[in-house]
Amino acid sequence: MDTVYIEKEVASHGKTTQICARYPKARQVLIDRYSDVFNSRAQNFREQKKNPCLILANKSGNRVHETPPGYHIGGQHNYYFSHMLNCVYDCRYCFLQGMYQSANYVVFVNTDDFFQDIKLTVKKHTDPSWFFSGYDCDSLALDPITHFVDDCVELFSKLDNARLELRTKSTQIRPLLKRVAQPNIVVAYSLSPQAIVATEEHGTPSLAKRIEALKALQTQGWNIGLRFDPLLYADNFEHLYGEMFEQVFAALDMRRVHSVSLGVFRLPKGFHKQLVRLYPDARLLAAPMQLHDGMVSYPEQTEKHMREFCMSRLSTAIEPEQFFPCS
Amino acid sequence: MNPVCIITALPAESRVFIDALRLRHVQDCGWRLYARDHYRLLQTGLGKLKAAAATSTLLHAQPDISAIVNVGVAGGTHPTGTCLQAHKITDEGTATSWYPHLPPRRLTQGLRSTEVLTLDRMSDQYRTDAVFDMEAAGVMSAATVYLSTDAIQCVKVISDNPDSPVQAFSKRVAIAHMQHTVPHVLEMLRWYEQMEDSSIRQSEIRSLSSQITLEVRHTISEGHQLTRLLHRYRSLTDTVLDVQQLQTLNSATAVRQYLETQLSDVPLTYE
Repeated sequence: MDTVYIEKEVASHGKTTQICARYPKARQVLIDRYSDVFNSRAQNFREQKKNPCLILANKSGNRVHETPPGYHIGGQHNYYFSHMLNCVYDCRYCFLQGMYQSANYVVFVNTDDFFQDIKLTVKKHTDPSWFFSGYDCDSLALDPITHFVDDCVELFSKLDNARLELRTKSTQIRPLLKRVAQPNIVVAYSLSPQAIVATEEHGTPSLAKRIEALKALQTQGWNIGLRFDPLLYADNFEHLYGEMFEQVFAALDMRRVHSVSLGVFRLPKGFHKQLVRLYPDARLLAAPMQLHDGMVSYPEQTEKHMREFCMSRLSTAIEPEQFFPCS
Repeated sequence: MNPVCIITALPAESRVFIDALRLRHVQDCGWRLYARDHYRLLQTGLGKLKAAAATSTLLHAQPDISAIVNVGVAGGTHPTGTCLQAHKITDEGTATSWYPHLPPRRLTQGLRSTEVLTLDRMSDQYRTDAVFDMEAAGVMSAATVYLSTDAIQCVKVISDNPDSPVQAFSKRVAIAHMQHTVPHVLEMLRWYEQMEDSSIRQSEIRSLSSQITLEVRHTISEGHQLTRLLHRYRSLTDTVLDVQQLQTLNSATAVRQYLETQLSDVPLTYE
């Protein structure tokens, strides 16, 4: 990290000091609001991705949000929170590049405020509330810098009526392996066939490494989740995904997997347009796509075929109650 | 290679780059432009208004310019001759700010960063947290219409400070101070040249598309469809299309159908 922007409000925050200590040679720039840098116009996401900056900020206002309909793994009350904006990985299909102008990483250092809001949200319901981290970022990828996982696991270990999903592609699982597995936390990995990882998921750990991490977590008693989302179309789709399922089924105890979800590639129209502008020759954009209800995705028949193929393979390894389709 | 451009205000700021890059004056009315190979130097004249007007005119006339570096003298509390790069540029008059996306630190070793405050007139009320100039905000406001903030940089050298106020400023002194900026600016230019130019592939497709549309009439919307199909062809085959074949077709529909037929035979696979 060559440049760290620091909101004046959090300049003396303990977490700011701790993070800055990791980058003693970085340029430090004091700013009024993170949005001055992050949301400013004339930024180029693709170019910034080559040399992103870190922005340390305070998150005010709403910190815990309800998830969109259909975003759940069986819970009644579903919320997400983002202690960070943007992701260290560079996946071509990622909606973040359509959502944000900037590829810089924003880390909100006021985690205690997030935790306070989570506690208040839990109190609203008598039955368990689910919290999803990893909606606007990867939950684990920047953990060596943020130490978010330690704090978060500590909090949820004391919240019996709360469930947490940490969604990731990262293999930074040491903080989890150091701890006793928590029954109310699910570590969920996004998985894709290795050929797709290599072409479309730049900078991410290989499929084999992710499976290895899942196996280590499962062995230690952690709940694990598998997220086959997004499924990308290819003419050799069945071969690619069939092979991946075999690898996953061979490595993991599938009956003990907490939850499995899958979703076909889809992007809101505006985000898709931005993706085309940024990466017009991305391979995934060469597939036939259609616009339905403001979302760009594959033609209905293609989508149906992709879903059915994956579900038929998954049904050989998991029970229906483990499965949650994405919409 | 796309051109890269240095933007200065005064002859004394331009001189060192004209010499270092062996630039030649481009005979054209209305601006002071120097060029050689893919290097350009635009001398805008004093003040943010002139800087904005000249920058805008240049970038409009030469849209292939891929990056600019605004270089010049500035006032501050640092010792004279100190080079600084701008991490924030503020127009004092309007309080508008810009944040250039800075290049990797390894390229700018020894170059500290600072806020550059663009004033409408010279000042000797020096500040410790910013340096004063008279053009950077003008350059930024015009350049951000054409380029993204990663392609616009600003390097300033301290020419006056409380010990050596602006009244002592002379052309000879300015040239001597500007000499300090040369290695930093040349390093930045080299970085822009070496950067994997993501726009090269896109400009190839644009050129292909215009070769076709010159011969076969396309509406704007048909032009967009054509560009998308050419990108699809490129990403699936990793080859460039034979344009001559397409130029013989008699309508945009025929071109589209031809491309779609070609593409239907190419499998989309991940290996």
